[in-house]
Amino acid sequence: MEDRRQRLTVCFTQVFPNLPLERIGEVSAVSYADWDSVTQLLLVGLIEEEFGIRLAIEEIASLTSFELLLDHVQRHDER
Amino acid sequence: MSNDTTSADLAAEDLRVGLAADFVRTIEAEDLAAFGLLSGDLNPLHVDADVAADSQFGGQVTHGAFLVAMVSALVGMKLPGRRVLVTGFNARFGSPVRVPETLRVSGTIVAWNTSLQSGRLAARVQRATDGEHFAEVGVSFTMQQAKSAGVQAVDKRVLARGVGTQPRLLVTGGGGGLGRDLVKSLAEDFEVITVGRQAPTGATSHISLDLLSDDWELALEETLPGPLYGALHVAWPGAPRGGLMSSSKEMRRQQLSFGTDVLIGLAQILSRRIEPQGGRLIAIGSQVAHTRNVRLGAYVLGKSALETTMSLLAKELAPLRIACNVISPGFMPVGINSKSSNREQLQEKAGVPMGRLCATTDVVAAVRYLLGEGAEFHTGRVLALWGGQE
Repeated sequence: MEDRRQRLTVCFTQVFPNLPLERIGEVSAVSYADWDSVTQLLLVGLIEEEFGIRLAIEEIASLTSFELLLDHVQRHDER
Repeated sequence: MSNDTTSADLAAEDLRVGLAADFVRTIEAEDLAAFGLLSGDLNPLHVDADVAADSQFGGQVTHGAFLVAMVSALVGMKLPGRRVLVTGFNARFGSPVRVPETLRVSGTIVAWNTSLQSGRLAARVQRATDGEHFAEVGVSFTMQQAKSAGVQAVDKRVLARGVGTQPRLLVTGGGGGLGRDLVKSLAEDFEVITVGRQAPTGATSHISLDLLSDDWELALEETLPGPLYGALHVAWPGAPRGGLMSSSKEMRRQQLSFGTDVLIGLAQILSRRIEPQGGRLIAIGSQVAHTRNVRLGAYVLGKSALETTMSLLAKELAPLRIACNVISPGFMPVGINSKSSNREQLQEKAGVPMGRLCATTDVVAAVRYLLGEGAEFHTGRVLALWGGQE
């Protein structure tokens, strides 16, 4: 779990270079101005590559926070 | 019963909900004549056999007040007995009582508040043989105070307030979820009286009644002595899932009732008991009244109605200096949302700029603010606890 969190954090730092590290765990689309539809797609692309998963279109729109993405990656690994 | 002059002598500490008593008495024409002379009601339907025979009833019928007087006898002589002080009667009559007739008068204590020393008894007058119903009488009562050598003259307002001089606050729905936390916190600074079906654990006063019944206001008004500082409306009949198209009339009626009739009833009771310095009326709403979640159709209807009702009450109660507001919490994983999954909670949290869900401590703090002196000019508004959400 901790390993996945760290790997996900790295994805976030690449898409959001100006986001302080200590805020990454709490960030969401509604609280960070740089998180828009474009950066969302960039983030999803990195996550798919990092974790070897494919996200469906309908899933992407609902994964709007670090915690939701971590939860999704976790569930995918448990299947 | 009419020949028995021995009255029961129950003390306040002997009383409890469920205690019952009854007696049987046969009524004759001469009793109607005596009651007519005593009361002045000599309507021939009651006292003249020939006139009454020509009426639709075919004979003399008993005064309705006579039946109430028999209930008075039950209360004054049997339950609770000689120490009772009746503060009100309300009666409904069924079939007329013709004479001679043997009646059973029975009563049960349906509400008793130890700290307020007030209660309510539900009585029935029926035919002793087959139980035919003649009258239902509700009696509200208190108990006589014992006289002792050490008692000095006491300010009646202090007595009416009960313990100490804390402002008295009526709270609906203090039995579970958010209500329980609110009552626990507010009991530090207020004399809290909870009302509803479920009594909270702990040492607050509680009046058991059903807020969906037709006469809850009367029952509450008669049981509740003294002034009030405020009322906090937390109780709600659940959050039924589903859209309006699949909702039942009864479901919508209950939701709307809690958002309108119950709130208005509380406002009316508060307006009659408020002191010159004013007070507070607060209700707990919900963010869904603004997000209009179609999956909670009836609930949205009720909570939206609550906000509109309160905005109107704010204007009407302003001359009495009663500040009226709704607190609208965002999603909280308690009460109706206590079974939400971790995923659902994360989803809700992701929509909150503050990065966390609304907590009961946020609601308690908001209620305390609105109850405080500094909020007396804050009225007619919805205080949103949404963490920055639109």
